[in-house]
Amino acid sequence: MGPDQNALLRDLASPTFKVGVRRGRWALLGVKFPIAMFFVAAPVRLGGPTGFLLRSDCTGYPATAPNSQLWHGRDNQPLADADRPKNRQAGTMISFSTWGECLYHPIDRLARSHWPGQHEELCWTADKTIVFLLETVHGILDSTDYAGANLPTAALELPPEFVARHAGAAA
Amino acid sequence: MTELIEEVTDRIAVVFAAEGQAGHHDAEIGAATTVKEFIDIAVSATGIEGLLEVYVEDAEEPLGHELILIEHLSIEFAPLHVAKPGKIATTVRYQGSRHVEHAFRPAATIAKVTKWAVGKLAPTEDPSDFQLKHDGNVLPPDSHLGQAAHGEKSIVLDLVFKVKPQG
Repeated sequence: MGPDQNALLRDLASPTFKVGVRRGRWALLGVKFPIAMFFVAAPVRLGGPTGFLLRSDCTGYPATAPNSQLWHGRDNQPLADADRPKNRQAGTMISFSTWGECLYHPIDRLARSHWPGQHEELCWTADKTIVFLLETVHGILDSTDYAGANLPTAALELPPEFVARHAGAAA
Repeated sequence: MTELIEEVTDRIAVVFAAEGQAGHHDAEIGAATTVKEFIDIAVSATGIEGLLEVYVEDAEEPLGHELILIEHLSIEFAPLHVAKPGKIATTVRYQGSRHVEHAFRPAATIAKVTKWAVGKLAPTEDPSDFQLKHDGNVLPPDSHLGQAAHGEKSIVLDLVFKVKPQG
């Protein structure tokens, strides 16, 4: 097991990560390193989902920022634009746009360079933990800008590789 | 076997934050653990001397030392907070020229302080659209004021809109 995997598992076992789980802010669905699959809760909106799957590539963690996308569990691919969180103007929230295979936000490894010298406090640094990413995503959803989403139920199913790992663990 | 099971289930895991530390700690308490005994556990776990008060999250008063802790835990999960005596004198600045002040208990959540500050400084706005920053860092709404204040009994925060980086 490499140091990045060790560090991620250490932080996923930390009391601070578990506080977010017990508050219902997020849940860990599985780790198949370097991928970690999370559920991030969304505030209640009429017809909206309970939350979204977040797939994070944690290669090089924590020295390197995770690269994350909202995910469709059954299809096991990035969430389609039509299913992503919408703003009050019925457009996709900008941080969850399909700009690239990432969150369109300075916290993401791939998107960071889009805001050179800006938003330093939003950026990943090596002293951050996975909790910083989950707080950020939860915080984006937890605002009046979030108006809900037309998320199919299947999008919250666990992707096959994580189902298999859970079955193995149970046995 | 029955005795063993009873012994195991007799203890409960609690999570607590300590004034001056950003993270959280796990601890186990028994059915008869008093608040005073829990303080000893917290001092041992954190290495912080002088911790004397235990709070339920967002509570206005600390728990009495003689109380049985398990009888005072929240029904909904919330970390306890262990602190040195006293409130934290809190100044919240807004838009450069305005500020408000209030003394909060160290167990006050940042969400509670944010809601109070928005009510005073931007009463027509929704608190969920704001965040508090300390020394330029965004404070998580679920964290406690005492976790942000680095062990000090005063703190200056900035109330700002949540940043939405645009393209």
